Formats: sequence, C-alpha cells, structure tokens
Amino acid sequence: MKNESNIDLLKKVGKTEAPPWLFTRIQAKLRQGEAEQAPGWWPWATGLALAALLVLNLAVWQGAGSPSAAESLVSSLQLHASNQLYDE
Amino acid sequence: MLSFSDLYEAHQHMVYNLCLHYLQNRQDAEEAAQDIFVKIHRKLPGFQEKSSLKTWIYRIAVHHCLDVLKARTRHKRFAFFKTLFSSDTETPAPLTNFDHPGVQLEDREALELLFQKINQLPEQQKTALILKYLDELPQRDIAAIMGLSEKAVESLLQRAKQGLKKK
Repeated sequence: MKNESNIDLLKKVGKTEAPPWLFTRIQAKLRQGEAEQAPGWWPWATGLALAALLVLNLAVWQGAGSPSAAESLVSSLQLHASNQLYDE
Repeated sequence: MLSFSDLYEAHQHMVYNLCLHYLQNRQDAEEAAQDIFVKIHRKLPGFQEKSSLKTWIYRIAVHHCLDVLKARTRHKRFAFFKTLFSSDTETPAPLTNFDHPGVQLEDREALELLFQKINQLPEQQKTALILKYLDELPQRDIAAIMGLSEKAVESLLQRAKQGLKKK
C-alpha cells in the first residue's frame, strides 16, 4: 500500500522546459568539436612517419651485425690498437 | 530529412526532462542534454530509420544518462578511497544535490527520498520505472527503447516496485 502511494508520488513530478540558451551552448560545443578534429592528412602523415622510423630501425639493426669499412681496413692491414709489440 | 535545429526544437524538452529524472540536478541535466544533442548531431547521418526518430533519441539519451551515473559512482568510490588515505578529517561534500525543477517545495522531501531509492535500483529496472512513471510512455514504446519484449518490461517494472518496497 505504502509502495503504491510512493509510485503515485511520481505523478507529482512536473514537466519542465529546457532552458532557452541550451541550443546556443550545443552549437558552441559542435563548433569546438569541429575545431579540435584532426585534419584529414593527419593519419597519413603519422603513418608515413612511423613507416620511416621502422625502415630506419631495420637499417640500423641490420648494419649492426656486419663490420664497418674502417673496421675491415684495420683488420686487413693487421693494425691492432694494442700495446703488445709481438703477436703472441 | 529533418534538420538538426528542427529535431532539437521537437525533442529538447523530452531530452532535458529525461536527464532531470535520471540525474535529479538541474546543472547536471543541462550538461547531459548538451552532450546528448552533440552525440545526436554526430550520429544523425547514420540514422537508418529502423526505429522511430523518437525511440532512437530516447536510446541515445538513456545510454548517456546511465554513463553519467556510472561516472558519478566511480567518482564517489575514488573520493571514498581518497578520504581513507588522506590525513584530512573533513568529510567530503555530497557530489550532487537534489535540484529537480519539476518538484514542488511541499513534495521535495518525500520525492528526494523516493528518488534516492530509485537511484539504488539496477539500471534496467530504473530505466523501465522512469520511462513508465515519469515519462509516461506506453509499455510498447519502453520495450522498443530498451530492446526488450513487453513482457520483459512488465517483469522489470514488477521487480522495480518490489525493490522499492524492500528499501
């Protein structure tokens, strides 16, 4: 019984009108959203930059295993950066 | 095709009142109504008329209000943990004050208490109750909005009433 009267109490909640300035605020939010949106070329530029970075990383990684030209010359001329006078 | 301003004119009061019923605070309802219309504006080109425009708007509004309530609960939990770990002995101020412009002063106390009980109901029961008793929608429309059968809505309403009786 008490519950029924509780539910009936909700009938006393009246309808209210939305404030008149609400639409202006919505329009401002929409304009703000458009301004914040990234330009169309942005994803392409990001993708290209990431691809370039990946290629650069691969090149460095592959180059790390093989000796450089200077290292090859040093070993072919048997030039050792050592204080030992004789190869023992 | 309806322009956005025409759509707003036709549904502004419906959305604002629904936000008030869920959030029971004028400022929160205004903020939520703005966000709902921004979402509607964004989604309008993809509206496929599988349901009526009113049903579609209701769905967006209900989901948004439930999201706001979830965020409010998370915020409350965070505030609780903050009080546990802070040396400050002051009790935090309530996050929202009951401020429903559709409630008369003489009914305020009783309705605030009732809304507190409604707020504790599970999401679906709360939605069914609000749409039925505050928005006064027919059960068929509630079923369409919630994506349920009319029987399921009836069952939700029964459980909501029982839930209110227990609390």
